[in-house]
Amino acid sequence: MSGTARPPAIDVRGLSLSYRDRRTHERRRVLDGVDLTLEAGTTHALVGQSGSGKSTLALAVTGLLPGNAAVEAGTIALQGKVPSRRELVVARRHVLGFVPQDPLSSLDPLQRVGRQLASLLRSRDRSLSRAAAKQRAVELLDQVEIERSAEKYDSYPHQLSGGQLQRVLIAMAISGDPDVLIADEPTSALDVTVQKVILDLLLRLRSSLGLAMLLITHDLALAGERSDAITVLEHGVVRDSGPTTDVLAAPSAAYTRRLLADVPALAPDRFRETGASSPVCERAGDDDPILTVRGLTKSYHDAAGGPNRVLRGVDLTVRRGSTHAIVGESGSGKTTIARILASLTPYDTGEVRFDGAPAAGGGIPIAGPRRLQLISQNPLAVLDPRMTVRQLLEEPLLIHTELTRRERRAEVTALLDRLDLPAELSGRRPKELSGGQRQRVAVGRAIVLAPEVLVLDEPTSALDVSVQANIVELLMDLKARHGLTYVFISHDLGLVRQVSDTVTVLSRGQVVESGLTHEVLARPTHHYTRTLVDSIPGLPHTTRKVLR
Amino acid sequence: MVLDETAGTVRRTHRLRNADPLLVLAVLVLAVIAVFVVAPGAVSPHDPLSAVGQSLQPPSGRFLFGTDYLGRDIFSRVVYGTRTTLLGSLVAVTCGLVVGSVLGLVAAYFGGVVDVVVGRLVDVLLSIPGLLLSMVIVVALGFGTLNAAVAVGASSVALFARLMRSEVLTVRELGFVESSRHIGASTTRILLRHILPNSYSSVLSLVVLQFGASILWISSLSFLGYGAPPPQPEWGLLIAEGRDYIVSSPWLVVLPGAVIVAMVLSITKVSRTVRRRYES
Amino acid sequence: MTGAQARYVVGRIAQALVIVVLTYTLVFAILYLLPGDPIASAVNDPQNPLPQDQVHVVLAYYNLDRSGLEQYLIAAGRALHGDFGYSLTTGQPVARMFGQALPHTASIAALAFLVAVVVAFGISVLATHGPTRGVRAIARAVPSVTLSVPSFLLALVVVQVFAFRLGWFSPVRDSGFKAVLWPALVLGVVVAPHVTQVFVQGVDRTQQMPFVLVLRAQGRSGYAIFLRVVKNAVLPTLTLFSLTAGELLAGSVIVEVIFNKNGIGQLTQDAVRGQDTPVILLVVLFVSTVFVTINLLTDLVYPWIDPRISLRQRTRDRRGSGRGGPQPASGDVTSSSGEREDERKMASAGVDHGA
Repeated sequence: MSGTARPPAIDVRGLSLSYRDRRTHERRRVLDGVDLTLEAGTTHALVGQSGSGKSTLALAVTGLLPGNAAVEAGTIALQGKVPSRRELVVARRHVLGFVPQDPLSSLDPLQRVGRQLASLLRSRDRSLSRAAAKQRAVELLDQVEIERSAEKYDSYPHQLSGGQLQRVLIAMAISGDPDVLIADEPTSALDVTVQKVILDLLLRLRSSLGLAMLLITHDLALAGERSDAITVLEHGVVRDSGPTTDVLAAPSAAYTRRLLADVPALAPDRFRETGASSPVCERAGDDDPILTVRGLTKSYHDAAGGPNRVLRGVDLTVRRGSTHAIVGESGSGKTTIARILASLTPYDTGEVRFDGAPAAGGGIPIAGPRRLQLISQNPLAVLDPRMTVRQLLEEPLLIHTELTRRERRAEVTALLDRLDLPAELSGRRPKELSGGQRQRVAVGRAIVLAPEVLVLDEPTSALDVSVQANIVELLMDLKARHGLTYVFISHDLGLVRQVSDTVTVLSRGQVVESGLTHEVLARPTHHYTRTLVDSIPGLPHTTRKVLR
Repeated sequence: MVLDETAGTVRRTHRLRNADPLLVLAVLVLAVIAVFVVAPGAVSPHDPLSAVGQSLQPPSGRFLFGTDYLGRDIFSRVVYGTRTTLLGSLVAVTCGLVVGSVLGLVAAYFGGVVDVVVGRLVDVLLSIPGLLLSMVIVVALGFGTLNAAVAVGASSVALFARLMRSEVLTVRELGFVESSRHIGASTTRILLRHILPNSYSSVLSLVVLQFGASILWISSLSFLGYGAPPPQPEWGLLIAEGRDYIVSSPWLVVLPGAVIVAMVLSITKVSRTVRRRYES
Repeated sequence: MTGAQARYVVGRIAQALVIVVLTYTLVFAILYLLPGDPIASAVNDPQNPLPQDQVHVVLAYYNLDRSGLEQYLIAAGRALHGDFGYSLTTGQPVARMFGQALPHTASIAALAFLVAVVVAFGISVLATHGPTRGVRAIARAVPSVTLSVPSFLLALVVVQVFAFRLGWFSPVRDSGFKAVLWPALVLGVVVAPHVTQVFVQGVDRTQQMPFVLVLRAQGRSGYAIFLRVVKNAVLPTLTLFSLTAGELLAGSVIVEVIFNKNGIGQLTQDAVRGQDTPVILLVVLFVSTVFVTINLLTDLVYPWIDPRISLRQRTRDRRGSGRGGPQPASGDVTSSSGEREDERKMASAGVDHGA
């Protein structure tokens, strides 16, 4: 078959789709006249933030929509033909391969991974013997580059890492010799370095098997790096589409332009002017440190009873008025450092000095709540669900000040304004707020007592890029206005490059590299840092220029 | 002002039209039962303790639920029995809630040896099925409505203690409690403002459910003859008395039984609605 | 088995023994040490059918002149040797009376257990996979309706309809399988709702899990997916095993009284009426031992059924969450506290109604 004559792998025309709310029975439109063409043998990225309808489109293509979804208009053709229900089931077996979002819960926890793969093979081909299925399954595991595949065949899902599980799922997706892969955020649940490896694998398999791939992602930088064509979705409406280079070089929609500007990896200097890096902080020198950490160690007892060493002698110096980033992947111990600095977790050995004074230990905080505050990743968890925004913001004042009721009210109103939160939100509870608004409230609780240091533990990792950019903007603005010092913990090097002056790279509880951020990222000396830097998705140089 | 009011009315009628018909029914049943409790004399047409007609009459306009072997009006006996049964359940739930909550709180708060001791006590109490445990306690206390109620309450202590303990431990580990501690809130403030308000809702829903369960439980005890002494009208006892005449007069069993079922079903329905409201 | 696992198993068995001993002690204390002289007053009660010549024997046996602690130690020592004393109403050895009653109850309870499993499974399948929305809604309502019906009412209605109206069986004359079938049906229906509720919740939760979506995306047959879902959903119901056994034994009191069976239920009822404390003590000891043993077995067998659980893991979990269900070993802090949340909800749903 010649390549040019092949019909598009997936052709979505004018698709409109809505969900019926199970309680109120109201219909909510999630896709509105969506067109999307995935040409055979190419990669097409579908980009959108949460709630854009991108996953719904994937479900619609595979015919897996939940019962309360209704297609109102439009067609979805697979390889030039609109399939019937029955044909779609057959297509799921032989034409479409599906790579899910969350590898950790996408395999049956009670069955060995190899057997799941073998039973999938046997479900397609009843004549396949058990032995033959097992042999084929091991071959597939080899194909997705799982080390010691015969051994891993007998593992249960909980014994494998996220990356390994995603490899197993990819093996399942290609096991039926499909023509199309649908990958729904295939790497968003994985660590950055693993993300890159898995994406490389997916694209390698795609080209060696000659597949078409619909790559669904929230990450525009990643899409730009990995796709031939791109479709940008917002609130169920296509904002932009076309060949990737064209769309990114000359985005036609304002939405795409904003999205491009908000991706940290694509705009490294965005916050330079707003105070991320004042001239004073250009030196990495140790003069005037507000926080120094020397030889910090910490072990937890794990389930097996053995010690699990999370921190193995960490040194840190944070200069007053600077932003110091701590970078590392999950398991590097970065959250433990945040908790130790906030005195929520005791440490084993080492020394922590705040503003020159050594920590007293014995349950006395390293720095009191009026001097150091922690902002954590998940604002929904740290805000009491029964309290209103006003009560939440008022609580620190109630505890630490003698202000009258009226004064507190005035203070909270002023704070809402500083946080860019509309005053009418003050009566809402956390569940009634958006993710970005919740994080603003959490920031407000932290800054209302005017502390000197904020420890920010992945403050934006749960948020969409545009919301993330807004929060970072707010944080940088607050820092410039109040002369705060930030300890900024993140796995996102692109973001770290934007906001921090100095950086410490952490791997398995040890510092592998530290120094001025731009120097460390431009000339990483440790191979681990290099891997991290390499996994920042980037764009061809031409596109970057257009953005300026 | 006027506008506001009409908007309110519109919303209210809208809500009424959208209301779950089963919920409306459940609330109605509970309202009727409440009248039985508050003013049994106003509702019941006859004296519950004396013969008012021929014996074993089938249900009719005069005797809604028929009459028993002594010619007493069953409906009036059901109405008067409501108070006994419901008061008993109230006593039982109160016992269980108070003792259980205190035990659970103490265990969760002090931890260590106290937690182990309370934990073992709860394990022991849970290892005996509730009905059996309440029979043991009734043997020790003697028969009677109040004793049966106390026995049922004592048997539900373990449930409340376990729930309260795990609830406090769970809530204590939640991020917002830590966040408040980090902000510098005192232990009292954390306990009163954060932990208790966030743990009582599931305890509350157990209270309501346990109230329904206690009705069944107390009825079972009084059916077996450990509750109120015979001339007294009491739900379980009414059915036990009707049992001997079930062949000729099944209504003696079925109609009082239907009242029990309606009552407990309504409580379950309402408690479920309340819990759902709390969760969303 | 590693050393740590062996230590865990031994510790867990010791813990079970402690609970049984404590239960015996507690019930002994409740029954014997309350004010008054329960044995003497029961035996000397003019209505007591016990023949006069046996009264002295019984009174002498129970060492009423000793202190409470001494009485307890003597009774406990005898119990260890299988001597559970004499009935206060018949003068017979309690152990013999119990031994005669046990087979009746055991056969009813065993059959009732089967009935409960079948009913729970059937209702759950209808509730989650029923053909129409109406069927599913009705099936979903069944457990809470059943929980609202007093067991004695259900038993009486069954007797009235099937024995007296339809004449399918006789509550007095029948023997053999027929005599066991009807009480077992009633008892099975009475204990089924808890299992049903937990199973339905398990199916609902499993169906929300991404792996089910992946199975569908692979074009697997509906039946193959159903089997995987059921296997995952059935795990939490296993922890209800002991609870159900206890309910079956306690429920047999009502059922045996109504169906005129001479099992442990009837024995208990007679003992409570006659204040026959030695009999009650043995019944409670037996039921509690059954409960604790099944709980122990479930705990020890669970790691073989759920690969995520290791034997050592559970020591810690038990301390964390009381009489807890299973908890997957994998996952970080947030996900395991999420599991615990689920488990707690299940546990509180499991106690929806007691009687």
